[in-house]
Amino acid sequence: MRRENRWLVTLGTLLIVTVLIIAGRQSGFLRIIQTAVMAPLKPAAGLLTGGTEAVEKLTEDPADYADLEEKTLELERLVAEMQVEIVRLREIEQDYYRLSGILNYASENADQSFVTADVIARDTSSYLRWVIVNRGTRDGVQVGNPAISDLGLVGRVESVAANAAWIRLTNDPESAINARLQTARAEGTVVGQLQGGLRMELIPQEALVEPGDLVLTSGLGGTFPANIVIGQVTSVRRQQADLFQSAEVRPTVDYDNLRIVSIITGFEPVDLTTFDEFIEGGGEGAP
Amino acid sequence: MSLQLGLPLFIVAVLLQATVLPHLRVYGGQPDLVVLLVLAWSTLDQEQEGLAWAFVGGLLLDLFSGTPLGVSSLALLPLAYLIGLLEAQVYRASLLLPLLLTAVGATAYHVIYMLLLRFLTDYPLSWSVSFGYVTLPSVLFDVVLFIPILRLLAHWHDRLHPRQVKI
Repeated sequence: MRRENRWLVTLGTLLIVTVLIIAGRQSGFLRIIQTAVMAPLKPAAGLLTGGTEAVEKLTEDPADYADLEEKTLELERLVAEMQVEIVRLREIEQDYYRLSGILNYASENADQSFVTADVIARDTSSYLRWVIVNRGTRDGVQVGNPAISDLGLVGRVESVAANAAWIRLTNDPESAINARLQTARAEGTVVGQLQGGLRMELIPQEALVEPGDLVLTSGLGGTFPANIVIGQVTSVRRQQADLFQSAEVRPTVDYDNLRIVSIITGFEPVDLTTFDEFIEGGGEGAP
Repeated sequence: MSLQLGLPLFIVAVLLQATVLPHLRVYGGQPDLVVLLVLAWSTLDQEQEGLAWAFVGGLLLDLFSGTPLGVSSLALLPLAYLIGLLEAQVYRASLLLPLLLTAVGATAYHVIYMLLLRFLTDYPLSWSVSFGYVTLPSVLFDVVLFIPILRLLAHWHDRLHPRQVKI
């Protein structure tokens, strides 16, 4: 057989195998392979991530600048933490006045359990905004679990192996989160941007949105708990001809420097497949 | 490239791509280390090894990604095939040709990858933003890094497959 023909046969075989692997991505067999391969690679990835961070710290500015920078970062972190705390307190206050003593956020979430995980790797594709953490089904992590940090919402677990989980960050272009504005009390959808930011879309035209307004999860749809901070409005785009207005949102979480996340394992997302089946079935058997 | 040498090399490359290289991002682009290794080995080797490493490297890349397993392999395989058909000696003679080859090869990889993402997974990519923000910086990184990687692998390749001369 000629060399070009042999190459074509090899190419064809490998392409068929690859297509079969992609087609079988939902099967449990691939999950077993992923778990087996990730087991030895996980410590190496963790070490490399830790090493990179250590080198980054070493190569920062000279000592006095480093001190100042450290203090500034510490203050920024404190301000961000206080902002989150203020938001939480405002929410409790508003709940108290508006809902006349219906359960506040803390009591609503008292039954939630958390698993803390280290970020061990980032997505190898520059088009996706995912991270991989060192906790999996063995630690109780499930697909759909929300991930948060001390500064706000990080993302959602989209895939999980026995010893690792893949989290889609909120700034991934495919991420869409039901959200509401704290002051304007309007709802919309926060979508990720490839450039790293967020945009809140589908905000009703009549809502008075101002830069600085905080964006929180609304809890609608059941995919995330309500009242987790997502970000802050930086600019508003409103045109009379449009049905909705949109706003650019600066995330409170620094996705590039994520090291530790908390995964809410006690939260069970609402199963919406019933509605999908209902729609696919042409709406038969509607209540 | 033997399995004992190639597999650790590709594993290290993927680990670097998932841990160290994201910290070097310019805009949204970073060096595509695995793509560069596949391009370089396909350029040097006249056997079908480039195809095999495109398949393995792609699977390893997708293991550390949110994309379905196999998408990167599917984007790398045609590239490795086409480059493998070309004569390796041409690249030894000129410096410009490998650079041109990398620019075209890496751009083709990104375009195929984006097409697969869009049509296989319905991923909401904006073509203009993706090209300007991710593809272009990544390709520039790749062009800069290709020659050192090619030189390194050429040295390795010559040791593994000494050139035979008829007397």
